[in-house]
Amino acid sequence: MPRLATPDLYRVVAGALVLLGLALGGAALATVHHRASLTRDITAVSGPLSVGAQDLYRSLSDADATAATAFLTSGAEPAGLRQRYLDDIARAGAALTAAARDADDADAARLAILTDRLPVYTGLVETARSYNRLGVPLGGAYLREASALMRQTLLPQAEGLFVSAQERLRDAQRDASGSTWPVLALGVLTVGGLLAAQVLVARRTKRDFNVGLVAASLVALILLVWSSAALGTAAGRVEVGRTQGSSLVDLLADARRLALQARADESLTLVARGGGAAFEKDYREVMDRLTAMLDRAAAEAPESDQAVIRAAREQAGRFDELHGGVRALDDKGDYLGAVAKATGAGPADPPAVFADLDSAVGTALAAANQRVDHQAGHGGGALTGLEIALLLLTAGLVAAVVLGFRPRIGEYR
Amino acid sequence: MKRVAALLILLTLLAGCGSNPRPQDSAYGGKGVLPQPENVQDPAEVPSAAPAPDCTPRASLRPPATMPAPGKMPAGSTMAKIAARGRVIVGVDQNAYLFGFRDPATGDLAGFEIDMARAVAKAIFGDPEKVQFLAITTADRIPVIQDGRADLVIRTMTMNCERWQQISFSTEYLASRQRLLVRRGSGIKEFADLANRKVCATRGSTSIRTIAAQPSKPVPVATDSTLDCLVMLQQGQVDAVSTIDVLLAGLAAQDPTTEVVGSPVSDEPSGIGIAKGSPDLVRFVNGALEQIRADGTWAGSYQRWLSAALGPVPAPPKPVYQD
Repeated sequence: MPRLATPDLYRVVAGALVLLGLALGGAALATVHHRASLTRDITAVSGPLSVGAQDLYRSLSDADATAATAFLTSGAEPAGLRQRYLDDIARAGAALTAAARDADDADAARLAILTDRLPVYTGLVETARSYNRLGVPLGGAYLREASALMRQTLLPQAEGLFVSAQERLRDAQRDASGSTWPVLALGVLTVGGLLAAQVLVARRTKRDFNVGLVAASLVALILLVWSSAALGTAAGRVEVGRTQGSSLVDLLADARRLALQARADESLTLVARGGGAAFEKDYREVMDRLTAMLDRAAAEAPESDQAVIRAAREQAGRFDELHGGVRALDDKGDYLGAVAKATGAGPADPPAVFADLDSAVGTALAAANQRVDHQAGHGGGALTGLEIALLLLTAGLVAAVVLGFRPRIGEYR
Repeated sequence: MKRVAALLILLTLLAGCGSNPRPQDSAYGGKGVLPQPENVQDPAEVPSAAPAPDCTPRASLRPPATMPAPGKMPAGSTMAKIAARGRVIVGVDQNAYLFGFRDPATGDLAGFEIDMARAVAKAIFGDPEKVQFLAITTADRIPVIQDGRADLVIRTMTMNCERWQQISFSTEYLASRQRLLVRRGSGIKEFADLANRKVCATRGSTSIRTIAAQPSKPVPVATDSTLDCLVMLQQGQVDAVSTIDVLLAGLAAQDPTTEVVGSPVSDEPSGIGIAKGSPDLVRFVNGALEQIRADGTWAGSYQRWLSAALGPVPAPPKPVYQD
C-alpha cells in the first residue's frame, strides 16, 4: 500500500470520522424514534386494545352468568339482575365497536362472528324468559341453548381477540425493550476512531491536543452515554410493564373469566333441574383451575398487589364452600332450598361472596393494566427531548471534527 | 298471486342450492347460523337392544289381601323402613310438562306423576306431603333404584323385559305409545312421510331405536332432553320429535303450533320402578294403585293434567299380575 501524503491522510481520516459520526447520530436517532413510537403504541393502541378485549370477554361471561341466575328466581326476575344483564350486553356491544377500529384481518373475522351471533344469543335469552314467564319448562331448554352458544362460539372468539391483543402488546413490548447494540457499537467505534485520530494528529504535528477532536470526542461520549442511558431506562420500564403487568393481566383476565364460568355453572346446574351433571363437572374443573391460577398470580404479583389477589383467593374458597352447600341441598332433593341459597341476598350468600371475588380480581386486573400503561408512559418520558438533542449533538460532532482537521490540512497548502 | 308465490319458493330453493358454503360466508356475517342445544348427536348413535328373555312386561306382583292402614306398616317390611325415615324418596322428572315439572310461578313440583308419588306417600304415612323428590335424568332411572338412592322411580319408564332383569315394576299406571310431534301444516302425518328427514329423541332411549327401525329410514337425532328436541323443532332443525305420546302431548301443550300425529309405532306401558329385592314394596305400591284407580283419584289427576292435551279421561290401565 503506497504511503499517503499527510494532508490526504487527514482528509481520509476526517471523512471517515464524519461518516462515523453521522452513522452514530443517525442510528441513535432512528432507534430513539422507533422506541418512542413503540411505547406510544403501547399506551395508545395495543394497551387499550387488550383492555377492550378484556372488557368484551368479561361482559359476555357476566351476561351468561347473570342470565342463568336471573332465570332461577321464581316468577319475574329481580330488576337488579335484569339491569346487570342489559348493561353487560350494552358494554359488549360498545367493546365490539371499539375493537373494530384497530382490528387486523384475523381479528376482523373474529369480530364478524361476534357481531353476527350476539343478537342471536340475546334472542335466545329473551325466548327463554318468555317461556319461563308462561310457566312452561321449555324456557330452561332455550336458556341452555343460549349458554351453549355463548360458551362454544362467542366466548372462544372473544378469547381469541384477547390473546391476539396480548400478543400484539407483547410484540410491542419486546421490540421496545430489545438491546440497542448498533448504537453502542457505532458509539464505541466513533469514540475509538476519534482517539486514534488524536494520536495520529499528535504524532504528526508534535502537539499534544487537537481542540476540535477533543471536543468531538466529548460530544460523541455524551451522545453515546445519554442515548444508551435513556434507551436503557425506557427498555427497563417497558420490561417491568411486561413482567409485572402483562403477564399478570393474562393470569387475572383468565381468572376472572373462570370465576364467572363457575358461577354460571352453578346456576345452570340448577336450571337443568336434575340434568345438570355436566355443568357440575365443568364447575369442578373450572374452580380447580381458578384457585390454581389465583395462587400463581399471587406468587407472581408485585408486593403491592398481593393483598387483593389473596383476598380474591379467599373469596373463591368461600364461594366453593357455599357451592358445596347448594349442591348438598339439591342432591338430597331440596331444590327450592338450593335455589334460595344460590340466589340469597344476604352478605354471606353466594351472590355477595361472588361479587366480592369478582371485584377483587377486577381491582387486581385494573392495577396490572395500569402498570403496563404507566411503565410504558414513563419509558416514553425517558426519551423526551432526546431526538432534538441527538440532532444537535450529531451536528456538533461533525462540526468539531471538521473544525479540528481544517487548520491542520491548511498547514500543508 | 299464486305464480308470484311459486316463483318466490323456487327462488328460495335455488338460493338454498346455490349457497356455496365458503368459510367467509359465516365469518363475515353473510349468512345466519342456527345455534344448537348442547350435546346434539346428528345422526344419533342407535343403542343396541340387549338380548332379554321373553316375559309379560305388564305383569307385576299381586297386592296383599289386606292393605296395612296408613301409619301402621308391618314390622320389618321395606315400608316400615321408609316410615321410620319419615319420607319416601321418589326419582322424578323436573322437566316433563304436565308429568313432573317446576311451576315457575311457585317453584313447586307439579304434574300427573307427582300426584302418583303423593298417592303412595298417602298410603304409607296418611300424608301426601311426605315425599322427597329427586330430580333424575333418563339415564339415571335404573341406577338410583339399584344403589338405593330412591325408593321409587316415577318417570315415564317403559316396562320391558330388558329392564325387568334389573329392577321390578309396579302395575301399569299410564298407557302410552310412540308417535310423532310435528309443526302444524308441515304435511307430515306418518313416519312414511319422514324418509331421510330428521327425527329427534333423547339419547340412548328406546325411542331412538324405534325411529331407526322404521322402514322409511328417517335420520334419528339425539339430544339430552325432549325439551331440546322441541327447541330444535321450533327452530326448524328437525322435522319431527318422536317419543311416547303422553310426553309429546306435554310438548305440544307448550307450543300450540305443533301437533301430535301418526299411528302408534310401539306399545309402552309406564310403571313405577322399584328395587328387585323389595317385593313387599312392589305389592304395597300395587295395592295403593288399586285404591286410586277405584276411588277416582287416578281419573281426577288425569283430568287435571292430561285431558286438555290427550282428550277425555280413559279407563285406568287394567292391572296384570304374574301370580
